[in-house]
Amino acid sequence: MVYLIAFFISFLTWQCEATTVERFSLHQLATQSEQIHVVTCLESSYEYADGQPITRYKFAVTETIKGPPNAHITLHLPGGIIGAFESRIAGMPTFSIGSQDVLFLTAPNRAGFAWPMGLGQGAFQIRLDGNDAPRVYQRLNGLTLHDRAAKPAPEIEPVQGSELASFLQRVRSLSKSNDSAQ
Amino acid sequence: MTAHSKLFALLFICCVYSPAQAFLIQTFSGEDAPIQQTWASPERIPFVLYDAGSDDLTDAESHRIIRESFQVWEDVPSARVAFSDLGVTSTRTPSRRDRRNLIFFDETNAFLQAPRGSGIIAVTRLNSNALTGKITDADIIFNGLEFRFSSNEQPVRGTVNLKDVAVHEVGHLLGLEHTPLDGPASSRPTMNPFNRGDGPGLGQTLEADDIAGVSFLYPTPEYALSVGSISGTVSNLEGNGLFGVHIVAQNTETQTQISTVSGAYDGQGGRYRIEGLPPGPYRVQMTPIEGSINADNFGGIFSEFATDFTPEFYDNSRVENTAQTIEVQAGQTVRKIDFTTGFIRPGFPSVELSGLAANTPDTTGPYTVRVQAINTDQLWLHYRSSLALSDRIPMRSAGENIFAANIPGQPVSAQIEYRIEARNDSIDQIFYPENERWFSFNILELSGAPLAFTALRGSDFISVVDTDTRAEQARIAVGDEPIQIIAGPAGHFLYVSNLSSNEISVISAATFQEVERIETAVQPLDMAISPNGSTLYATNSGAGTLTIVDLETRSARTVWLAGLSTGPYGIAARNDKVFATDLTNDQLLIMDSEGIIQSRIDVAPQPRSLAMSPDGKLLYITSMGENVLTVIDAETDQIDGRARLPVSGTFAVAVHPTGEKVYLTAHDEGSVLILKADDLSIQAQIATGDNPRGIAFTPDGQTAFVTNAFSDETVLIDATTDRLVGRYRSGDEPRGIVVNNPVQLSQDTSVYEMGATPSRYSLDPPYPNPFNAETQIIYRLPADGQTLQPVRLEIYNGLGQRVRMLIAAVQEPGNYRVQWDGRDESGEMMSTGVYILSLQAGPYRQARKLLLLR
Repeated sequence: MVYLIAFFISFLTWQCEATTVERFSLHQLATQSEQIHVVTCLESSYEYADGQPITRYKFAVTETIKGPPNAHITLHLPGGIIGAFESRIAGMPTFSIGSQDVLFLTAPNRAGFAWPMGLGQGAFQIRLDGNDAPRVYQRLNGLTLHDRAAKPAPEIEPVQGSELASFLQRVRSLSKSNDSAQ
Repeated sequence: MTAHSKLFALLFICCVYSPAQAFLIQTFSGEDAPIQQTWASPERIPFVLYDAGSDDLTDAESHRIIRESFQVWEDVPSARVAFSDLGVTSTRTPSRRDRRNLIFFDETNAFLQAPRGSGIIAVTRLNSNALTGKITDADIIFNGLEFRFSSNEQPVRGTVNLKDVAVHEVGHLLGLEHTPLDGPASSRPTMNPFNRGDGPGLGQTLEADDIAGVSFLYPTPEYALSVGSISGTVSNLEGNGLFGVHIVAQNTETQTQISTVSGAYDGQGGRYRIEGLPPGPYRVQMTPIEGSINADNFGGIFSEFATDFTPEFYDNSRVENTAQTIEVQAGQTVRKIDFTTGFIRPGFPSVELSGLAANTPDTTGPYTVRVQAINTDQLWLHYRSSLALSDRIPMRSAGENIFAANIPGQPVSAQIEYRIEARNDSIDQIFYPENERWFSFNILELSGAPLAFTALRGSDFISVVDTDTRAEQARIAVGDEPIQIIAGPAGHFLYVSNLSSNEISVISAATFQEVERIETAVQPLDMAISPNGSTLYATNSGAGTLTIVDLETRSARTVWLAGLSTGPYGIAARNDKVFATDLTNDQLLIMDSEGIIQSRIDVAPQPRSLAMSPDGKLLYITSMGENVLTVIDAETDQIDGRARLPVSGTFAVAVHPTGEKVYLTAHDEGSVLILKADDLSIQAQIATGDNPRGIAFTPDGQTAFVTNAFSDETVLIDATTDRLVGRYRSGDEPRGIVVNNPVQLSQDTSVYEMGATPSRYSLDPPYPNPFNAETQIIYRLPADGQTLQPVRLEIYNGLGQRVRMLIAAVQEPGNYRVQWDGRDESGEMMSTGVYILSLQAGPYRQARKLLLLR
């Protein structure tokens, strides 16, 4: 039986996707996203769509900074685990139940579901630091972040680990800033 | 556990994503150790191109660029990588099982199905055997619907350079992960997670770290014998191995870097091994992976990095030039290069320099050494010079955990070495630095040519360069992210805005030492000084405020600018008014000298920098958002003129000292525009380098210096012929620049030689005495069989406290004259009273009374 299992496993495939995504500044995330919400993940489940695993998330919205103020939002994001097959897309954020995030969302795709803008760039996990102060951490998850050609690379913004309150305040007021001017 | 559940447990282990082994290599977790993703036959990795290329390029052009991107990796001589070009296909459906390795442009979003704004440019999909890690199929899909692609030959603003992305993606296809190594565009590894649009070539060439990575994965038979490696452990004070610590080996001759991450080698914390090091001397440093590149750039099991420690070289050195050098031989591993974080053993003294003493032209001294120390209040400064002078002197407390001591002045060309000894009550003793290493600095002999002071944003130093030899003379440590620099009245002091530490560093142009820091609000940026020299204005670009500094007292206050949440950015000042740019509202702010907004003028979009004509009548404003230079009449605050420019936008502006020409940096285009001031016609456009952002003129106006922020160099333009006449390498991200004539020490402590060598020691009676403004002191040093002797000339108050060190130097025999202006070390005027003048010179001791009357 063990040999049979080993034989079976030897044919299993592991799939991952390395992803290059346009790098968005916090200013761009704040101004170009369709919706911005502070959310808590309530549910997650895996489904098949067009032959590929996807993950369905349901969130409770605790604050809406931009977009319609719905009590709940649902995301369908590529990648997931169906039986023995796991598909993992580098940079596509994954959420566990109970996790809190600030989400910057795109317009819906053809299937009617928005994604975090710039994949993990548009998902800031809220975590408590050693003093129980909430801070935000961008869920980049291995993304390659690209700046377009013939354009000076803007500075990498020090958003990782920002205090939640000042981060949200900055998001609210960022719509007209220009960080490349420094 | 049933066989069924075992199967799924094993499957679960196999499927957890876990990149490990740095440069880095893509791996996933196995039962015992990480499994690397590699090609079984790297000598013939096939790929096939979809026959339709990008819609933005011709098919032939698209295919050529893709093929060139594969070739970049194939050209690494130490790696046995070769691709088998299977031509083109009309089948564009990627499959994870067909083993065709398809490269195609998804122009309809049929495959990616990403919403607009997803930002996805390209996806490399790897399929591997879950047990062996062997890659079985790989496809690269470009998002042709949402992005426009361009070629090196025709770079187009706002497009994605196809080769920039493709070379990086092929690196992933080969099994490489991101590297934590960063740096300027010219040396940043291709596998850095920030694939920046640095321009053709820069993102498409492999650096040492990339080459080491692909050579490690697919080594040629000769490779292992041609390179060496370094291995060791990283642990904390309790001896526990730490996971995810970045270990960087830098070749001290070539400056190339190759790195790894602790735990990447075997999937566990603690052990590391840096492979692929060409033979040579290396300095090895451990540094936390945090900030712009952090665990989130890697994913998988690298989600919990140890970051709570201070960067440190091997062994225990926190300063690069005192770090131990490790010699790497071909085919050998240097073992036991171990690091311990938080090397402060509990209860033991710990010492750290507050700032390195810089090379200095100051022969007068003293040179103050300051340290931060804990678990000790018994510290001594050991110093020695190349002139055989040496001493061990106690360090005095200069604040909480701060201690200081002075090294006396030294003659030109002397090299001074120093280190600190610290003890505690248990007689635990340490030296800093350890292992018989010493810090050092030199007394400079300057050529007399103007000096260029440049803010190196990327390395927290001010670089001092002799403009004649273009050699760097000194590096002055300042705050975090020094970004702009401006000279004060007469050029005696330089002011540096530190963007990240929210302060202005004050530097003595005569001694090259930082003498003070002035607190500002968030992100101080541009600065201007009123023509009468009384006031410095600094924009706080992250706070919507302006900091106003009284330059006599160096007291600062910050005023809020109504209506600004971020910015202001550029600034210029007259005695009666101040101008600043409001980039978010496309306006020029006009304020009174107290920073109260009086009016606003609408100007071209995204106004950035300001420069005033020498007569203070005209104000020039650059625009980042439009190809326009705006000119304001600074008397009437009305727009005086506009000039259309042949570039997309401009950043910095400077007016030639004659007022006849205006220089602008076109940062996007990498050039400088030179305009005639009278009619704003364009005299010249000069290609400078990557992202020019700073301009300064020599005092005689003959030469303009332009800093290229992203190519780490400064270029020189002859301001008469408007031609590029030279360039030199600068440090990391040069930004603001000032070019000044060398400054002598101020008269109050200057020394003059007079007449023939005296036959005996003496300290003449000071004259005048009593005195009010200043008094003159003459002393004489005989030859007395010595060519050099230590001299200390000091002022004490009536309580016996020293208030001023006038001379602390090693001097030759001769007659010397010194003036004292009645101020203490900090520049404060002393009150009326009796003071004692004390001279110590070799064996000679003499004192005289001084009466100061206010």
